[in-house]
Formats: sequence, structure tokens, C-alpha cells
Amino acid sequence: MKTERDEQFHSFVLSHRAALIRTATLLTAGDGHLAEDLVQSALTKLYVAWPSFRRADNPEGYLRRTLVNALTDERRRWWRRHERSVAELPDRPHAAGGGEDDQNDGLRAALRELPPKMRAALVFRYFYDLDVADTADALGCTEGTVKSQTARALDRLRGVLAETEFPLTGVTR
Amino acid sequence: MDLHDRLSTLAGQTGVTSAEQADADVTRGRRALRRRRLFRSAGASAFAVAALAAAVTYGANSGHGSPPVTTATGTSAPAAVATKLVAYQGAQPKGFTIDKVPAGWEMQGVNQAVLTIAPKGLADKNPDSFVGKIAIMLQSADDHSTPTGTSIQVGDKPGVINTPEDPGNTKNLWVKEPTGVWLQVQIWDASGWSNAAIVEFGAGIHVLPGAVQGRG
Repeated sequence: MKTERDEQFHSFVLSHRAALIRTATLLTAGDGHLAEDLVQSALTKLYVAWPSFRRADNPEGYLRRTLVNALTDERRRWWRRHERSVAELPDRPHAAGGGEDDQNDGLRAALRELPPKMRAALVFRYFYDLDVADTADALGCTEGTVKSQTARALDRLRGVLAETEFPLTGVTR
Repeated sequence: MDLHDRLSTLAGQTGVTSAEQADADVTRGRRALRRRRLFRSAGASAFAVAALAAAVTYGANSGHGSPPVTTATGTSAPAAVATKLVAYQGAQPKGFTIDKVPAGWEMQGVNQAVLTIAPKGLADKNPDSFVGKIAIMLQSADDHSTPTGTSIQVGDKPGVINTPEDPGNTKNLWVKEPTGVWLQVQIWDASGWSNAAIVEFGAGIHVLPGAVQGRG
């Protein structure tokens, strides 16, 4: 029999899981298997702390912190995750093929060169358009660290992608 | 294409979450929550009636003259030997009474919320730590699920024995009290316990009206 927590959590998962997978895919530099593990891990933590999450003044911030913490935990045991054969992943639409695949490969490789938290800073700042303060809150660091991390992340991305036929453009900040 | 668009492409399209996926997430969460409740301080937790956990292992013929079998617990829990269940001679805990304990065991924590019994001489004297001991608790007031597993009879009450999905040799005995509330007895390492021994132990635990269900 489902408890009230189960029902609330179930509804939350139905409405938020797909978006979490997208975020996790970026945080893991396009690793779909690790992204699924990451989301499972984050959702498990969220279920355990469900009353705290419900009481949180900033649930979105709480969710981002949970995801980043799960990322840190997952990276610690990434080798174990990759040693075992991963169960069949849920069906999920793939990105379009053709030239986009090549672009994705380049960006994926460039993101993999970044440390996880630096990558997360980049994702929150330039994909989710979070301000420095919210990004710092998600990463559990200072605003100064966010600024330096994102600047270095962009430099590294430019360096890696400049060698490809899809250099980084359009970054104004 | 700018960085935002390229990240969006890499993130992939937004899929649809199925009810089965959500169910699986709920199951994982419930399992983690149960683990957390068992291992955290019962005083700080929302749990309210007692817990017992044990590293003791019983021979299949325990109580019939055969020596007990002792095995490693596989955790930090120390191994202990219990030759048989003996009548409990000490003060009865709040919330319920117990008839028998494994020989050589003692009660560690006694209050309305927690009861822990552990082998005498166990280094871990913290009554709120259940590792290497035995745990008994009333089902949380927020958990209305019905335990499933091997149906058994515990005295005149219906019961169930099941095994958590987590790795290890843990077994749970669930006894449905006349009030409709389930009493849970968790044996930390039940690798040597027969179901008969578990039932005998559980039959000696009597929930009193003062016992309190936990929340959360």
C-alpha cells in the first residue's frame, strides 16, 4: 500500500525525472548510463529526505544540490559502475544524427576533459542561465569559485573545440 | 549554434517517464529509507518502538542439545555464540515484555522507544546502534504496507518472514498484533537461524498498550 510520501514522490518523479535525466546527461558529459545512475541515486536521496525537500524554501535549489552531491558520490565509484554490465536503459529519444552527432562528439569529449564541478558550473551558468549566486548554492562553493571555474571551463572548451570544425561561438559572458 | 544550443542538443530530447520507472524509484527510496531508519540513532529518529538486532546464529537444532553454529557476520558486528534461548530474568522493558533471550545476551537499551539486546561483552555498548544485535520495532504509523513473504503462525498471531532486498543475511519476522499494527523483528545475521527458531523467539515478545508507533 502506498503511503502519502510514496504518492507525492511518485507524482514528482513523473513530472521531473525526464528533465533530471537531461541535466544529468550534461553533468556526466553525455554518459547516458552514468546519467541514469546519477538520477536514480539523487531520487533515492530525495525520497529519504522527502519531508525536508517539501519544507525547503527553494526546492529547485535543493534539487540541484542533491544532484550535484549524487554526482560527487557517483564519480567516486564510477569504476564499479562501469565494470558491471548496465541493465537495459529506458527508451529515450536520441539527438538527431548527421552533423549534430559530430558536434556532440566534440562537445562531449571537451566536457569530459573538465573536472565534474567545473562542468557543473558551466552547465548551470550557460545552459540553465542560473546566476552566480544560485550556481554557487548548487555547487556548495563561493561565488568567486563559480566565476573562476566557469572562466576556466570556457577557456578549456574553446581550446579543445578550436581544434575541431565546430569551434565554440556565441558565448558572451 | 551557440553553447546553450549545443548543450541542449547533447542533453537529448525530453523523454516521457513511465509509471513503472516512477514505481522503481519509489521502491529504491523506500528501501533506502528503511535502511536509514534501522541504522541511525533511534533516539534521534522518528521511530518509536523498539529494535533488536543480532549477530547470533543458531544451529538448526538449537535447544535440542546440538552445539550452535557461529558464523562471521560479514560486517563490523562481532560474532557471538548463543547456545539456546533462555528465560529472560532481567527487568522488562517499557512497551513490551520478552520471555526469552539468547543465552549469553543482555539488554542494552530499554525505553519506550528502543530496546536493544546484544551479546554480553560486545564492544558496541551504544543502545541506539543495532549493528550486530537484534532489532524489533512497530511498523511506522506512516507505513501502511502489508509485509509479504513466507506466512507463518507466531503463537496465535499471523506472521510473515521475509528477507530485505539488500545484500546480507538479514531476516525479518513480522507479527500482526491484535491492534492491527505489525511488529517487526529484524535479525541482523540470520544465516544460522531456522524459521522455527525465529518464530520461537518472536513468540516470546509481547507488545503492551504503552508501545508507541513511530512516524515517518
